[in-house]
Formats: sequence, C-alpha cells, structure tokens
Amino acid sequence: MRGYVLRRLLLIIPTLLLLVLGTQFLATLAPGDPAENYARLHSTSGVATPAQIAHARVLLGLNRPFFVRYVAWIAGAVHGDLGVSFTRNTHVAAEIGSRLGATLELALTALGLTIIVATPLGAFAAMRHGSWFDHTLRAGSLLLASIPGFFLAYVLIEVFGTQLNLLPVAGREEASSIVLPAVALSAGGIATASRLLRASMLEVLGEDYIRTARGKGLSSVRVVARHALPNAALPVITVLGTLLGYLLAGSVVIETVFAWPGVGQLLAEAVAERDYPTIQGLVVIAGAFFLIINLLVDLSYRFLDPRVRLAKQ
Amino acid sequence: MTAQEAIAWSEAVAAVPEGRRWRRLRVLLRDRAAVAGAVLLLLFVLASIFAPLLTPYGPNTTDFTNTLSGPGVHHWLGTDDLGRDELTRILYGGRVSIGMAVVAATLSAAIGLTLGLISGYFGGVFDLVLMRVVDGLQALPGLLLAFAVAGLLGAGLLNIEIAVIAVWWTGYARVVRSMVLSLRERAFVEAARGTGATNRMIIIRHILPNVVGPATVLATLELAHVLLALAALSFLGLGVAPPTAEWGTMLSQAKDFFDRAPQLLIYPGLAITLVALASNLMGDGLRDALDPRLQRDVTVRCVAAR
Repeated sequence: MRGYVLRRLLLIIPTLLLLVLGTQFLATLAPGDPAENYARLHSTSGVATPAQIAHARVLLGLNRPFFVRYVAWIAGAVHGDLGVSFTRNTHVAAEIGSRLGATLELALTALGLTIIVATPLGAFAAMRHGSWFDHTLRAGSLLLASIPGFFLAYVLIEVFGTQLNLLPVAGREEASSIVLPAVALSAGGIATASRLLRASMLEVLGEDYIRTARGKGLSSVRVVARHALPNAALPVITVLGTLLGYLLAGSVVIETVFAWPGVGQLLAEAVAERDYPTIQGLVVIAGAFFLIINLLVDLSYRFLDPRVRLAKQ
Repeated sequence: MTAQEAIAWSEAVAAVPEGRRWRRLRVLLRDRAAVAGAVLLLLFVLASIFAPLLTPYGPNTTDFTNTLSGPGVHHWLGTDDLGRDELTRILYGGRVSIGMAVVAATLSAAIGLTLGLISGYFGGVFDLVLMRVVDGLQALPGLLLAFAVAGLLGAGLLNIEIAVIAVWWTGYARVVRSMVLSLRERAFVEAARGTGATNRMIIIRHILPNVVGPATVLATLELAHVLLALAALSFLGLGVAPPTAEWGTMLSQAKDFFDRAPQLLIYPGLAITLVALASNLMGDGLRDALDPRLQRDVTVRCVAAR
C-alpha cells in the first residue's frame, strides 16, 4: 500500500515536468514578441523603442536559451517562485495565492450544491424507474448538460438580478454574492451526477442484500438510505475528482461573468493579455492539484470498498 | 466512457449478426428523443447551408438607422448594435460554429484512432512515450487545458481548433489503444498472421474495422462537448475575429449590450444550446441502442419492481 502511494506520488513529477515543457514550448511557438508587448505596456508613449525592447528582453529573461529558461523556471518553482507576470508587475505565485481562496470557496460550494441536489434526484429516479419523474430528470439533465455555462449565468443574472432584483450579480462583497455563480457553476455537475447515481442505484437495487433488507420488513426509505445509497455512491465518488476538475474549469467562464475575484478570472485575463508566466504557473499548479486529487480519489475508493482491497491482497 | 465500456461495446457490436444490427438501428429509430435530436440537428445544418435562400439580408449588412431593435416584422429577431439582422447572423453563424465543432470532433477522433492503433499494436517505446503524453494532457480538465493552449497560441479560428483537438484526441487514443491490446491477442488476428499477412494488413483489414464503430459513437457523444468548449473559448474572446458571424463570438460581443438588449445574448445562446441538446439526444440514443447493458437494465427493473 505504501509502495503504491509512493509510486503514484513519484509519477506526478515527470507529468508536471512535461506540462512545464509543453507550456513553455507553446509560448515560444506563439506569434508576437512578449518583450515588445511588455516594453509597450510599460512605456508612457505606448510605443516601444528598440532599446526598451532589448531592456525588457533581459528583464524578463527571454534572452536566455530555451533549455536554460526551462531549468531556471523549475529551479524557481521548487522554491515557490513562479516568475513575474508580464502585464501586472506582480509575482505569479503571490497573485495565485491571493485568489485561490475565492475559487476554492466557489468550487466547493458548487460541489456541495451538486451533491445535495443530485443525490435525492438520482435516488428517487432509480426508485421510480420508468416513471414520469425519471423521464423528466433525463430530459432536464440533458438540457442542463447542453447549456453553455456562461449562457446560463446571463439568464440567471437577467432573471434574479435585473427582473426580480433579488441577488447581487457581480463581485464578492456580500454573503449572498456566491448564490448565482454557485448555481450557474453546479448546473452541469448536477446533471451528470444525478444520472450517474441513478444508473449505479439501479444496479444496487437488483442485488441480493437489498432483497434481504426488504425481506426483513424494513421500510423502503430505510432500505434506500441505509443499504442502497451508501453502495450506489461508490462509483459516484470515483468521479468526484473529475467533477471538481469540471467545476474548476467552468469557474474560468463563470468567474469572468460574475466578476468573482478568483484564479479562474485570473486565467481568463492572462489568456486575453497573453501573460505567459501567469498561464504557465496556473497550468502547473492546476496539474499538481488534479494529480493529487485523483490519487486521493483512488485511495478513498480502496478504503471505502472492501471488495477492491480484498481483490488486491 | 471508460476503456472497459468501449471494449464491451465493440465486442457486443461485433458479436451481433447482420440481421440484429438492423434491429439495433430500429431500436434507435423507435427512440423518439434520439430521432428528434437527429431531426433538429439536420434542420440546423440545412438552415445554415441554405442561409442565402432563407434571408434577404447579408450577415454583414449594416443599417445604422436601425440598431439594437427588438423582434419585428422586417427583422424577425431584431438587429444588433450595427443594425445587422440577428436571424441572418445566426443562420450564417451556424456554418462556422457547427462546422468547427464537426471538424474538431472528427480530427480528434482520427488522430486519437491512428495513434491508439499504432501504440496498442506495436507497443514498445512509442507506446510508453505516447501514454506519458496522454497522462500529462489528461492531468488537467480538458476545458482548462484548451483555455491555456488557446491563450498561449493567441486568438483565432485555427488556434482554438488546434487547442480543442490537442486536448480531445487523448480520450480516443486511450480507448482505442486498450481495445487493440485485447484485439491483437484474438484468434482471428493470429490466423491472419499465420497466413502471412503483414502488420499493416492486419491493422487495416482486421483490427481497424472492429475499432471504427465505437470510435464513431464516441465522436458523436463528444460533438456537444466540443461545440460547448469552442463556444466557451470564443466567449472569452479567443475565437473568430469580430466581423465574421459565429455564435460564440456573437455572444461575446453581445455581453457589452446586455443591459440594453439582452435578446442579442439569448438568441445565439439558444442556438448553441439547441444544437448541443440535439447532439446529446442523438448520442444518448446511440448509446442506448448499442449498449449491451440495456438488457441488464431491464432485468434490474424487474427485480426492483418486486
């Protein structure tokens, strides 16, 4: 077991090195000269002289060869230094650090909302398999999975912000500011999770131990809550990592629409300004985050399902 | 879809005799939701192809005396900030939006299929390196990586296509590779090798036909995802340059007028939603028709009903 965890942790390192290489390669390949952009942004006239561009090139370290920059970036990253943003004069690591809380707050709220809403929906649809509720859920989840997140966000703004004037539509100042972004972000996840839970619940409801529980005379609520749901939830737990990834990717668009000051908005801005160090830093941090999350999900599965553990021994 | 599911599908499809395949097609045709999805998708495709016949306006015909007007007799869906007819732009926009999604989904499938075939059949160093690359690309959520790639490459139609394809091929490669791993050990491949067939012949004649079906299903299922990913990239300003009518770019432009003319955002948003819904309905039906577990589902229902 310890060997397995160690091996998985060690495998994270080459994957991250590959991500750094890939992002740096793409940044080199991209048209346009970052040094010129930087010099232009920082000159008062809006035009950069050749001397200013040359100065910017040295300042940003772009005069060094590709491989030297690669090694230097990794050496910096090991010490928590992800370089300096091209456009905002801040350290990338500090900028990401100051925004991470807002994004995690939003993503975890959306994840919580997804679980709270999807669990009863999926369970009930499985219990009433083939009923009108089941069909409505299928149609509803297909619709939710088809709406672009930013479109749903604007519909929510129009209805709850402009028409009903109930909820704040931008920023993070009030406690209720999180409601609309969290709802917009969780919609797709609710669709996926409720369908998944329904499918796995249908399988579990056909098992012998459910028949035994029914035979004992347990009420149908008790059978579902105590016997079926915990077992049906197992396959859903394996996709929680994917779901969280989906939520964080969606937060790029949702944070932009609702002016939520998180890393998603930072990525959208960095992408628009082609601020390579910020993009690279975000990609590598997100990569490390997801590799660890996926490892934790795999481990929790082995921990929660005794059958997986026994099969391994 | 996991690799195991894909293998189960391919085996179920391959095991079905010709007559039963038609029955599966009939199952698909009986699924009213799937048929509705296919019809809706076809309508959108035809409407955008025949756009010049359906509307008297051009997609870039401006009318500065009539800007941001609501729906009316002359302009069914109103006009945008430059007085261009919104319905016309949606019809023409479909060409770019649907076209881009189909190209991205097809190319990702083709690239993933080819690399997965080679990697699974020959193994070795190529397989090892390819799988590490796939691991690296799949470490991040697809959409997030597509944002990063498009951000590094810069805005533009070609760049967001590259970004989406660069991310989406990995799924096909992984699924096809694991299917080939089990196929190449099968008796019919052994028999072909015994008759002196070359590796190339075995791959093309014996392995490819068994892999193409599931890969096509996957591509259909992914069409909606690709469409939504491209729309999100366009929305962030990475898409097609403004004068061209394209749904994602239209949405991105409309957000500046959202308080005055929310309908400019609603219409292209609905167009994307409807096309994504149509492909999702079709994909869902296709999965049901091909899924060997459907029968088990029926038995589950019998047990659960008691």
